[in-house]
Amino acid sequence: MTSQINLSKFNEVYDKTYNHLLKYVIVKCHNINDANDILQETYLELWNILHKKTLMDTNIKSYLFSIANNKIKKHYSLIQRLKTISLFDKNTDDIELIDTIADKININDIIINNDNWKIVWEYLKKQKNQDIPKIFYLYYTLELTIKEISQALNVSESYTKHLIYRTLHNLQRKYGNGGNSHD
Amino acid sequence: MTNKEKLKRVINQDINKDNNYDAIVKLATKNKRTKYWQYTLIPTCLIIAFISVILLNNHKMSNNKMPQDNVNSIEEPILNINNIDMMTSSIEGGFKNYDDIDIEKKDNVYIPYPFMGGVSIPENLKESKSYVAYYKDDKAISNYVIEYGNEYRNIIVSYQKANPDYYDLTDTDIKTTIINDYEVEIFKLSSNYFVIFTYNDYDFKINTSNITEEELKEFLVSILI
Repeated sequence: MTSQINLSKFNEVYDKTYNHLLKYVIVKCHNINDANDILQETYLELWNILHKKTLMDTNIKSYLFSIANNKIKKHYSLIQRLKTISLFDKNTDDIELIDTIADKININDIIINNDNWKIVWEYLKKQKNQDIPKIFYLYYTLELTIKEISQALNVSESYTKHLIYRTLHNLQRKYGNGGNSHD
Repeated sequence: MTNKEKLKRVINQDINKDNNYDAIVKLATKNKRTKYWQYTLIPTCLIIAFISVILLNNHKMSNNKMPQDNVNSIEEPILNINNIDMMTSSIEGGFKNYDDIDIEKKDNVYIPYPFMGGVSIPENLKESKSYVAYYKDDKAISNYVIEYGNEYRNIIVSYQKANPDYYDLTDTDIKTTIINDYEVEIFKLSSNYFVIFTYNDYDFKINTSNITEEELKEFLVSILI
């Protein structure tokens, strides 16, 4: 009976918090390919805790985010801490190209070979600059505004905007009709 | 269906709520089954091992010295270093440059001293400052920090109250070092060390720049008493 109550409680919390936590993990993770793992580890931790003790409803969300934060730190303890979020400027590599890209390209104008959007998403996830898949996720899946995305990722709006448009341009070139998608 | 909807569908298939739920439940029930084995098989093995040790000891000569009698009372620890390949950019500065962290200086906030005794600080370094780091959004304390040294050569000690619920040192792929019975994880990247351990009810994370391995060992041995 207790285990059923705990499962019911877990399900309730999972449904209520999933979208918020997912957004948090996507924003905070270093690589979007780790998002599923971090989410699962976080909720698994909550599962274990709910089976040991009762948590007040008012505390569960903040508790969950604390767990997620620690899971992210632990997940990236080597990379993040050793890098020590240094004085390097992560936007430096993109600045040169920003002004050369027209900002009027629209995702709905792109024609992808065989309509294979799965391969497009895989391409986005593999980008060295992980802001790209994050921004695409936040912009096209959660439908946040440029301003909201910029605030969430702590980057400038122009950076966000131009990253979207430049990537769409690259997608058209790589996977669009006439593009070489075998690169 | 528009391209935007197509992309959204693909993304939601990849980062999927139901799939994640199924994975969590599977992991949770697997852990439960594993625990049943742990609660039965492992204690049984331990009991057998314990009895065997007692029986063996009863057959030893009475003047047989214990191994510890032949070594110095304080054994020099050997640091097991986890060498990390180059990740991305070079290392500069300290964790205080995290984007979501604010710094509060010492004279405004009480900072608990986490060490039980003195600390062996490498030559030419001294305690430069102590401060508290806060998360920007809600002013929750992230870490207390003590810095020794300067921008070029330093030891940065960050610590917070230990939380046994979700601070887990166990990782089968990482080598650990035992210093005075405390389990420590040490990582090296270029001329920097990063150290993690729990001591005196605090979780510690230590960054060093341009400190030798010997200096690091002396520092850790002086802390972990």
